[in-house]
Amino acid sequence: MEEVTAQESIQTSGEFERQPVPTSQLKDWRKFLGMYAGEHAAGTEFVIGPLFLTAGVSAFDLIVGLLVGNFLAVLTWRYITTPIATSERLTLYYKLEKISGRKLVTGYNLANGLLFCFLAGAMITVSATAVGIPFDMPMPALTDRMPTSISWVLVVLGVGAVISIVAAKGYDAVSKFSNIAAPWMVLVFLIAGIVAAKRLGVSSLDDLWAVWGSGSEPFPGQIKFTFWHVTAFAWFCNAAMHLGMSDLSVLRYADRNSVGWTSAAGMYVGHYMAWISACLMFALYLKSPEAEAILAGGGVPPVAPGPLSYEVVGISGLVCVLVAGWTTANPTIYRAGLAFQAIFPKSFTTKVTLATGAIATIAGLFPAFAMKLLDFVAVYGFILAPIGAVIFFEHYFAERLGMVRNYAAAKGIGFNMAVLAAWLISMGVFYTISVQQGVFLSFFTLPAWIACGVLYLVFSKILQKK
Amino acid sequence: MSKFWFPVLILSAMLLITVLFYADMLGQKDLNNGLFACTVVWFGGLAAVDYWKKKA
Repeated sequence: MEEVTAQESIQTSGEFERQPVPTSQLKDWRKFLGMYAGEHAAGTEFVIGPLFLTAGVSAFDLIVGLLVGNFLAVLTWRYITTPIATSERLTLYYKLEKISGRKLVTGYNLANGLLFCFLAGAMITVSATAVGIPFDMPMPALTDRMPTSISWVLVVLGVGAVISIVAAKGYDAVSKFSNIAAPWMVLVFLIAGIVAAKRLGVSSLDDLWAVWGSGSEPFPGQIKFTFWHVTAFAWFCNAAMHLGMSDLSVLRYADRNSVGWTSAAGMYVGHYMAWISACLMFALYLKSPEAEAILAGGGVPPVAPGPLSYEVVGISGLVCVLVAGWTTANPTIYRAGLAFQAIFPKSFTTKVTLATGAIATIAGLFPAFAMKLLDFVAVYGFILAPIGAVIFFEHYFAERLGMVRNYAAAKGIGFNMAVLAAWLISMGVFYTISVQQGVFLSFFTLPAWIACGVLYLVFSKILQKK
Repeated sequence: MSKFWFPVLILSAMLLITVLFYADMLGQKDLNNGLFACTVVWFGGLAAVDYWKKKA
């Protein structure tokens, strides 16, 4: 998953928000390599890995599917996002404002802010599973949607309050702490995977096949994941960032297009090594007498990152879960606050961030956001990605089709109907098909993206003729 | 010791402990304790390095 801690080290808030980044401010690939590697080793990786296992995925499908899906994501960053970023050198928000008008950007910000709140809520849930261990707190099960106990509510409220206050008051300190913690955190992820593999008796690929084999039946409430599910999920879980062009804000500082390849560091550290490590930790837990008893009784074992990592690497694992959850929830709340503040520009940042943290904390009380993270992340990418298609199709096809570029800015309008119609129709049609046919939503992210771009061109052509 | 070598040293120690565990030369408890010690040194050390750098 994504977070913005390292991004802030490249992009200073308030710099070049409404103007292209000057050549003197461009950065080389080294700045981006570290940023992507740290950015995608977030608290939510501890949940996503185990959730693959609950979807009954086979070892081959997971290992090869992630390899392919992450490579496709890297290609998307390199060939879709970066060329536009280095050509325009504008933030997503400003570029979108020029095309669609200020009022529509407000709607986009609202969707963005709310989705960030729910994501931060899932991260608070992850941290709470680590904090709750000394209090013997019952962990939520995979099927739990509502708060499970008083102790759960108190721990989540406590964790959420601390994260929100720190986000409002000491963002820079946490950002710095996060950068310090990142290399250690990545190594703990790796070590946890190695230790879990050792304890599972896995010392070669053959052993892994023997232990994991062809997967299992999915747990209750989960759909069976195949190679294609894993590939699509890995490709599109960050669709908002690459296809959705959110990373224009970062990559506009890139000195050349090849910087897009540095996204591989994030994909193969966070979305490959960390997911597989977390998966192995959960596989080890499923072999424990406790989990076997739950499964034998027809129940669903909890996916609780705190106890999982504590079992494998002790207190260091617990600290890792807490730090990963905290350092990623913090900037996510901060970023959601910025999105909301764009809607209410006269409000104080501190107040907006606190209110945003409160929404995230309330979301964190409900384990559904963390336990259904695969679905939520798919929805998150699906909703935000099509907006990127508007920018992409406008960038490459507008002039060829004789259309005015940056239409809203050129005509001085606050609301470009072509953008809203393309976004809503593409999302609505494919979401409806997904729900009615019971198809995994990530399969429709790319079709919705292409449809949105084509519809935007068609609607714009009609609108601009008028 | 430069700021660069300190984290490299700690990360190497963590990897070494893991390799020893993998080779059955350390038990689970030793691994946990070793990693915890490295964690304390990591955050404590980097905080100290940062503090001295600011003071200097």
